[in-house]
Amino acid sequence: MFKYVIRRIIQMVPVFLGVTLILFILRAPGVLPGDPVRLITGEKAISETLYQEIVEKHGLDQPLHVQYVRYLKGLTEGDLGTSYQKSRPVSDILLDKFPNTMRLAAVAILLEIIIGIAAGIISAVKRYSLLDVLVTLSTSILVSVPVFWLGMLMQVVFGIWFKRWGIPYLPISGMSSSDFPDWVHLILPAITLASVSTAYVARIMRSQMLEVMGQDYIRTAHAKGLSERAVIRRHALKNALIPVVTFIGIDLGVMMSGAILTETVFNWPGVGLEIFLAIGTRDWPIVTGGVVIIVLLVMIINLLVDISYAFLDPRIRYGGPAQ
Amino acid sequence: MTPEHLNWDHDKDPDMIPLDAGGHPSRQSESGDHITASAGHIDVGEISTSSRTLWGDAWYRLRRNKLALVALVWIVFMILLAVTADLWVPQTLGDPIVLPQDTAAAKLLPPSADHPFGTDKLGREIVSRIIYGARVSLSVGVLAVSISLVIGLIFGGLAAYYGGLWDTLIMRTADVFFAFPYVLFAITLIAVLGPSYRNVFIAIGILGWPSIARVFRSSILSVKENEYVDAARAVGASDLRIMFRHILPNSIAPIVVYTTMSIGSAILSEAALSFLGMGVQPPTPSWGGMLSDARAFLFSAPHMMLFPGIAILTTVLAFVLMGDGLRDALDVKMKD
Amino acid sequence: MSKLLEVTDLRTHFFTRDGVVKAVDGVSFSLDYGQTLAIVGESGSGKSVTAMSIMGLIPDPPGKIVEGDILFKGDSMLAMEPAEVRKLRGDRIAMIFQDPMTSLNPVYRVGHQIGESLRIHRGMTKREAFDRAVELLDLVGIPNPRERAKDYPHQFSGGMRQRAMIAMALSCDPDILIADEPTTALDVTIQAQILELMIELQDRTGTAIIMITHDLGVVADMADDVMVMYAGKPVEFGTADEVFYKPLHPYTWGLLDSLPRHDVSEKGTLEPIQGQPPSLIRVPRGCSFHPRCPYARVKCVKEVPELVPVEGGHASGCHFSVDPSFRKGEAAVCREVV
Repeated sequence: MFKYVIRRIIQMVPVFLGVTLILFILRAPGVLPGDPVRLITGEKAISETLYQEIVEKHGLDQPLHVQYVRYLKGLTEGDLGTSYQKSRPVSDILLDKFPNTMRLAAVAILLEIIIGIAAGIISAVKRYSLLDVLVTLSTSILVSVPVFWLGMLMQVVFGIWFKRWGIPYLPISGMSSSDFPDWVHLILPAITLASVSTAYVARIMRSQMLEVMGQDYIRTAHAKGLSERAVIRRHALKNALIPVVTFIGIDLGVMMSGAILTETVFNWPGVGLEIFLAIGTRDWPIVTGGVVIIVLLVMIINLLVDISYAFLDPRIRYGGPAQ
Repeated sequence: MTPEHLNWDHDKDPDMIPLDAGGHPSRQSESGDHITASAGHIDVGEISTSSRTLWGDAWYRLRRNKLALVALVWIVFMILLAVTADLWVPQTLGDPIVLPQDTAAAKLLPPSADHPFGTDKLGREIVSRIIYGARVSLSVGVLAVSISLVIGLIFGGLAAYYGGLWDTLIMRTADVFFAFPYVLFAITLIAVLGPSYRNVFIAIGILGWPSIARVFRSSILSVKENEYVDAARAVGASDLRIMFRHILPNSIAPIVVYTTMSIGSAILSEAALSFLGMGVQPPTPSWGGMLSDARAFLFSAPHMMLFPGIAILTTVLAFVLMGDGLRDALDVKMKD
Repeated sequence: MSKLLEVTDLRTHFFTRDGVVKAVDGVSFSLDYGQTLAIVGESGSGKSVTAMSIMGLIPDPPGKIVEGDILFKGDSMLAMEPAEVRKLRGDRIAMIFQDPMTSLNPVYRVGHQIGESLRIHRGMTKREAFDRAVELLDLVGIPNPRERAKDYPHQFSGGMRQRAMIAMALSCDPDILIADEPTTALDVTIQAQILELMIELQDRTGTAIIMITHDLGVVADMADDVMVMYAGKPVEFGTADEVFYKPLHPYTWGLLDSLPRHDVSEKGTLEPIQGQPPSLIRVPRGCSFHPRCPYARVKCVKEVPELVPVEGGHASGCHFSVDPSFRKGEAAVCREVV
């Protein structure tokens, strides 16, 4: 178990280096056609002297490997550069917004886990029933729907039309207002953010349940005289959950991408909205800094998920071959 | 169908026991594909059907899948719209880019007989813009996936065929790419390259290779086990020849399935990037860009957000369903 | 007194999209306390489906027992409520399966899995069930049973897992143990050990065994009666000696010829049966074995043979078995072609 955790952490190192290397290369001079100075200053025209100043200040004239080490060092110190528009350290700006994103993501993940897993199990157990057809169909549609459009659709229906019709309606913008308690503001953004992931979890849970239900050990459980319910609860569920947990871990990254879109649609003042607004003002340090933070966060959470995995699967806990 | 296939079909020729040249009763053809009747845990024996080619068989099964057929028709319809747009759309429905003469009077009109999908904030026909948007979406989808396919096939092929250090290096790199949230990576890349049509498909294409490489690698690894590859090697076939003549044809089914599904997700990514302002730049119409415009008019002109959304949903769904259909038809095992 | 188990004219069919698969099509036999019956046949002959029918584990849909009856101590299992059948399953009738690698749940400890039947059928507590599981592991010859009971299946070798499966099946002292190819997936040396273990345990507990196998060699030392199945039907039935030394049906001859034997001095070489088992959707007309039978005549194509007693209880489903000159080694290969 301990060995497994250590091994996972060690395996993480090259991925971490690779990720930061790519992020670095994206802004390193001469590697891509873009101008790194532009990434620092935005697209405003600047004088030649100022340009030289920036090159020197950021060490852009030094060899690449020196710059990379410098970049890594900056990262560990929390230095993500300075916003061109706001003249504030990017890390400060993002830190302010971060809790808002986490709150939204946490509720969305909760929805994803509860609804996705339940729908998948029901769908698999009642295979070919009307309910199964419904779940399968709606998950197919949900994975094809653009998140931001789903959000807008809900804004129009539950916010604008419901209000017009005099039905209790939901807030469609921001994180708080005088009309609603704060948690109500969370409803539509959280559903939007959770939608695609929930559909995927339901699909995977369904297919995993169906696969597990066809395994020999399920037949053994039946042969012992267990009831169908007990077979599903005691023998099928735990095995089927293992890959679903992995998926939820991997999915965090996807959800973070979704957070940019969702926060944009609902004006949710998180890291995602900040990135979107920075795109509008071509404030690249915020954009790349925001991406760095999210990527690192996703990697850390992935590691935690990997470790929690070991608690579910004894083959990993006891160093056996993972099947 | 050879007479051997009729072996068990004694309704047709009851008293005939087919004999082979040596006087022994001829065996049932072994080339016929065997379908094991699915009956839970129990092997109820194999049911031989007549032998067809992989693709003939797949087409036969695909035809029985109504959903996949509808999807196929929809994809073909969208492609036709996109390809022929220049010939008739500006003339009949209205120009997608050029503003009408009286913008103020023509803007934000709800759908009507004259304006099937309504007009946008500048008075342009939404129906025309959606048809032209199909060009962007479909072409970005196809171009991006082509890029992923080329990179993915090369890397996946190298990793699987040579193994060892190649395999480790390539698959670790793929892991790095997987650690990146898709849209975030695309945003970063485009932040450097600058937002444009070309950079959108390049960014999406570059990001798609690891999945294709993985699929190709694992299918090669399973094909490589087969004896005919050893046989080909034994008679001295070159690596390239083995790759193209023996391995590629046999691992093509999962690639086809995966490519179809990837086009759908590439279209979704393009829409998201355009929505964020990192994609195709105005005035070129794109579905994501149209939705971005629509945000300001949710109260007064909800039709502006309705139609582009439906266009994205149906097109992506068509590729997903088509992919599902192909997967079932080609009998490709794939994790969700 | 009624027999322990009586199966009469069992027909289990699967209704698939491609047609009706007649997996079991008219099987009858009975089993007494402490007896061993071997059901032998190629894969797809219906032997496993017969076992699953007795267990009441035919997946429905697509499977259905369309005819016949299964009497356990005189009571029809098909007439019972599902809950009643469930009470018998694992308690009075237990089963072990072919592949011990996949038949144990990977996420639970072996001891826990063995004790599970005791908890549901005997109402034991976790503690009691675990202690009993340790005893059972000891009984099936696992060293350090108390420690090993806390292991997970992947920490067991194949042979040990099959021993654990046997311990699991025997946990409630069942009247009948159905063993579906229990040694097929194991190494040859382990095979012998497992068979020995089963014989030894049967001596001790008096459990009746239904041994399902494609390998006649496996059952030679063990079975009292042997039933040979082909395409869902029994084609030969008799005591082990009768089937081994005086086989009546050409299919049984084929099975015996494809067997490496050291007990019978015969100069014949190993010879597999030609061809493949037939499709169970469109079973050949007449005798279903005729397309592969070197002795087939016109009658075999036209008439379905019945399983009829030939000598005493020794029955055969071949038209020509009643003819004393039609015996293994003597019958001339004679194919009339019309």
